[in-house]
Amino acid sequence: MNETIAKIAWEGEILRFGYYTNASGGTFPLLPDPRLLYTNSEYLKILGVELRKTILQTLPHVNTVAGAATAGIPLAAVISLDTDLKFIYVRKEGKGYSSNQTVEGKIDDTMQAVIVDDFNVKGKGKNVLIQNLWANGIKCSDALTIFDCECEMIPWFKQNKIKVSWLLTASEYFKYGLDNGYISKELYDLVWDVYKDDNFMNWNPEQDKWKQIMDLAKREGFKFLGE
Amino acid sequence: MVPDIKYPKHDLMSLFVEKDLMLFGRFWASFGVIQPVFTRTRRIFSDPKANKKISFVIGKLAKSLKVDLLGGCETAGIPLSSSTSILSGIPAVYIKKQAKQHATKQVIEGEFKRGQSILVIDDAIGDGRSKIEFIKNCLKEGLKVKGVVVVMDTSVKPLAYFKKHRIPIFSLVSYNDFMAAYLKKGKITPELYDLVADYFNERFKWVGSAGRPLWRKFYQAARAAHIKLEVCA
Repeated sequence: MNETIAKIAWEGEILRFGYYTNASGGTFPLLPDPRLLYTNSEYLKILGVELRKTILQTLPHVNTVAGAATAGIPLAAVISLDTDLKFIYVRKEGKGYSSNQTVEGKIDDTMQAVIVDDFNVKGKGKNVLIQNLWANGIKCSDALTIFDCECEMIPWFKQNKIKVSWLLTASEYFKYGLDNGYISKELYDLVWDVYKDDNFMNWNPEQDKWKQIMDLAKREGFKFLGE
Repeated sequence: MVPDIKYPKHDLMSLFVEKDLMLFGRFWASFGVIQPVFTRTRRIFSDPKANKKISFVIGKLAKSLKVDLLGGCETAGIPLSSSTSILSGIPAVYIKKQAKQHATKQVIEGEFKRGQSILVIDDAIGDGRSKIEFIKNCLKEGLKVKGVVVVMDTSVKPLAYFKKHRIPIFSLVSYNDFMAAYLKKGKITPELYDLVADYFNERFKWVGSAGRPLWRKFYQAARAAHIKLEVCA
């Protein structure tokens, strides 16, 4: 576990409660949102340092950081600031005007990129981005995120030998919060029930449980969506 | 009014010219017309040194405007706002045109409070119509927009909205600066320079069938100057 990241994630209050919907229409009551750390330049610096360290230590073949539009762009930009790593960013689709590119930045044929993003769920979306890099002649067999939900990845990643790394998993994050007094055992048990075994992908519980989580979160001083 | 900050414009221009950012051909502009040039400003961000130089200037401007927040426009403004935040210590958020229909459903990502002031950051500006969407999203969230800063303006007159709402636009360099630098370096001919300048002065003449002779002249001048023409429109 990357304790530095776990610490700033709790200090930076990235865990928000509220009525969230996922891409498949399911609802869930909480989200650890690493993007909330970007606003604080000190936290952003730390994210850059830790991601950079991971790339240099575990992905020595990589010479380019590709920010996944949009949440991965600040990370990739900051990683590249003090290294020799080249910076580009990649979108799912062109904008429809200007150069209409899916990859922005100066591309060359020596590029071996790692896709950088805030969050990893099942990899849907990242596979499109990686294919866009390939289509632009950029080699890429790695993805790196701040946070990983520990969900089962779509088979595409195994089939294409794409290695996905992260700084912190959901279980490490919640456990760190419990062990260091950021969250009570009672709330921990409830939120972990939402997160474990991909539950949050299909979490549509009875109203009582929902209310129980919200009330407890409020009592413990957690922030809510939009606050 | 935007403060008159001092910055090494000449250095930035040399850097941009050296990186060969200008493309000639046919390109869709964000304001819905076809234009003969396009600058690959995003190529600059690949170079951390260039990124730092630009971010330093933006940070200086943000400090003189005393803004609480930097707001990077999705997507090209985001690397700039992040680097500027790291160098200046000013908090940054990023602004989307539209919220996703899932997760947070926010148009502004990051921590902010209603009433805070923000400097909107992007790579380039045409007549400013896409910036207006970002500005409106900031206003909707209760932020005060103190200005817009871009690396490059396309020398097109901004829409009346900016004057009406007293939102100043600050650009580090303009297309005119760019073309003049290209001409000085001998990268383009005076004829090509004049044609591109004509486009930006009287864009309407270049539209439709009436504009065809001008486009033909432009292609001929570009070919004569051994410039590769790109077509993205």
